[in-house]
Amino acid sequence: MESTILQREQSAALNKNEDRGGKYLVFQLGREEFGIRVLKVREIMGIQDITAVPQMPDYVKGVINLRGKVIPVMDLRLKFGLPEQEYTQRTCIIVVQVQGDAGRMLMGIVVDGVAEVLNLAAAEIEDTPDFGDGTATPYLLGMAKVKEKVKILLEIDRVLTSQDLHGLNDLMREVKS
Amino acid sequence: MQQQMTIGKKLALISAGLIVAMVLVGGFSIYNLVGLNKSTQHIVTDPLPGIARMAAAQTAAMTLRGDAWRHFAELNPSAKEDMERNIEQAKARVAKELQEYEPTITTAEDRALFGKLKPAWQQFVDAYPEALALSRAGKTGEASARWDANIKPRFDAARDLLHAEVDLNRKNGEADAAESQQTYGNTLWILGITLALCSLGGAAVAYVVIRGMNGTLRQAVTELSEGAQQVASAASQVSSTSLSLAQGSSEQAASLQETSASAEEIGVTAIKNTDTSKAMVADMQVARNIVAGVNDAIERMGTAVVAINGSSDQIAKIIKVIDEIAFQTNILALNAAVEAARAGEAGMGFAVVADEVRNLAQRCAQAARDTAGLIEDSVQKSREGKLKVDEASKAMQANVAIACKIGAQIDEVSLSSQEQTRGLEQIAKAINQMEQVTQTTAANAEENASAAEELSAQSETFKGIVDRLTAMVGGSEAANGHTSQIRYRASAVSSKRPQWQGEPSASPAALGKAQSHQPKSAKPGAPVVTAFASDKDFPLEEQFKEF
Repeated sequence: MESTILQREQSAALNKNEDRGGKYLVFQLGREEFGIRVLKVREIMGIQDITAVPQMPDYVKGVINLRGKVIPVMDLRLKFGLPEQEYTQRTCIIVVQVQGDAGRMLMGIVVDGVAEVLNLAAAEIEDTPDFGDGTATPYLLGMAKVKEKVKILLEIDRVLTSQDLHGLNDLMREVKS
Repeated sequence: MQQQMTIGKKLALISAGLIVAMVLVGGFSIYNLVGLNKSTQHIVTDPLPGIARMAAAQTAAMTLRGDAWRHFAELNPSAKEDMERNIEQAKARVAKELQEYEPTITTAEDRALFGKLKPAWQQFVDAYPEALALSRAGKTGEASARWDANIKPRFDAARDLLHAEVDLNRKNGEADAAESQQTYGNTLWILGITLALCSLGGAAVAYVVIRGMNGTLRQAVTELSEGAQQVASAASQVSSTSLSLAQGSSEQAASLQETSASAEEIGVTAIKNTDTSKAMVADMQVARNIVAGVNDAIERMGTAVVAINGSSDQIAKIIKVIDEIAFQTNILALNAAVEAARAGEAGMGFAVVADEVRNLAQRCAQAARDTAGLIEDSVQKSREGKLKVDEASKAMQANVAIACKIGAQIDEVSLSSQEQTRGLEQIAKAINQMEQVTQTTAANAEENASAAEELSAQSETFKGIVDRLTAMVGGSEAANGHTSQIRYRASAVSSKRPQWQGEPSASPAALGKAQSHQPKSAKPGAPVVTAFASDKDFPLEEQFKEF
């Protein structure tokens, strides 16, 4: 299992410079703007009623019914350790397709607001700087410089740890069964 | 006690004492005179007639004896008859005297003696005719012998008793005379002593009283002269005071006239004030109406603002809907963009369209946001406006209240002004009265001045009287002393008050004024009497009046 992760890291590092250019969906979380690959996004929707599920971590808000499909919803603020905030009209759920070990799964992430779809050239993207304390930042794809501002590009597959995904998968299975 | 008695009382007392003494002496004299008279009367009525009768009886008895003897000696019968007649006459005489004497007997001794005499005489009378019969018969010797033997002792006894009667009566008369003498002597002594005592006592009392009176009078004169002087100085003071009073009264009259003019001006002002306040009341009513109208307008404005707020809320809702639609559109556009990206090259055109849609949605949202902001701003402002309107309404209501209050106060001011006008009329009346009083005071002051002049003159006259009295009471020495004293005091007073020189012409101006008001002959002497009556310090006022 560790070997597979290392391989992927290596392949990601190799493909970084070539693959990072493209279209990104930019959303807001707190005061910052984050970007994820458009191809990971399945749908954008306004906030909906979320059915809470017991015995879940606090950042897992529950599940929603997406046209007949029950998908888990995770609050990215809580996941990133930001203070919890009341959901507004602007709050959106971005349904992403996550590539986990147990295969692909759909998942909703709650963000403060969706901004735009941005076409970023590879030159506009820089690597994540080394923060110097050995903190592994595999969920960061890079930093996009747009109009004197920096947008953080997320590797959404890695934002959620495999453990989380396992838990979610188990949840999904239980829900399905 | 003596000091408090009046001269009249003293004199009356002395006179009464003297009269009482006189009456006592006179009564005593009369009493003694009556006693004397009684003694004399007794002498006249008792012993003296007794003596006379007894003497007459004795003489008759002796005549009878002599005739008897001659009868014995006579030879002639006719002569003997004459003699017998004589003897009968003598006997009748003796009987008559004895009979007359009997009722005059007063003493027991006399009565006893007379009781012896009467039978003795009767025995003699019974005996002697026997001898006479013998003699008539010519028996002279027998008759004589019979006389000597039988009748003579009886006659002697009767004669002795008659003697004794005479002696007794004489003795009684002498005793009465001695008693009278005694009474006379006593009376003389007592009268003399009483008269001397009365004279001495009267003289002493008169001396004391006159001395006291003299002293009192002297003191009175001294005090009188001082009083006269004081009256004169007081008169001059009164004169000067009256003058200043008159002057002050005229000044007061002038100020009163000024005051009256000022009061009239104030009255005019007060009337003007009243009119002004009435006009103010009317204006205030108008202002009150205007304020009420403004208040209504503000209330209407408030409702309008509320309506604006309602409309703004509706607009805000609509804009919210628009914003939601824009948001949804944006999300749709983004979804479209995602789908286009997923479609790759085939979705390139669609991506452009989606981008445009998204742009439109964003513009729409922006416009909605701007409008919402504007509407929000407008709502906020209208809310503020509402608040302001409320404040204005409150202020306006306060204004109305104040206007009402001011109206009431103006009414009060108007009433006060009217009262002030009335009060000023009263003040004007009072000032008129005061003017009259002041004029009366001035006239009175001038009259006072004239009275003071009169008083001064009267005090001068008074001084003359005092001098005469002084001369009368104490002679030239005392008079000189008093006058010198008066002069000394007068000079002292005149040094203090140069206007008073003891002359009636102290203030001729006042006198002239006074004469114009009151003639000098109107009340002569009246001010002097008033001055004395008012001078409580004068101690001998009553005595002097009686004097």
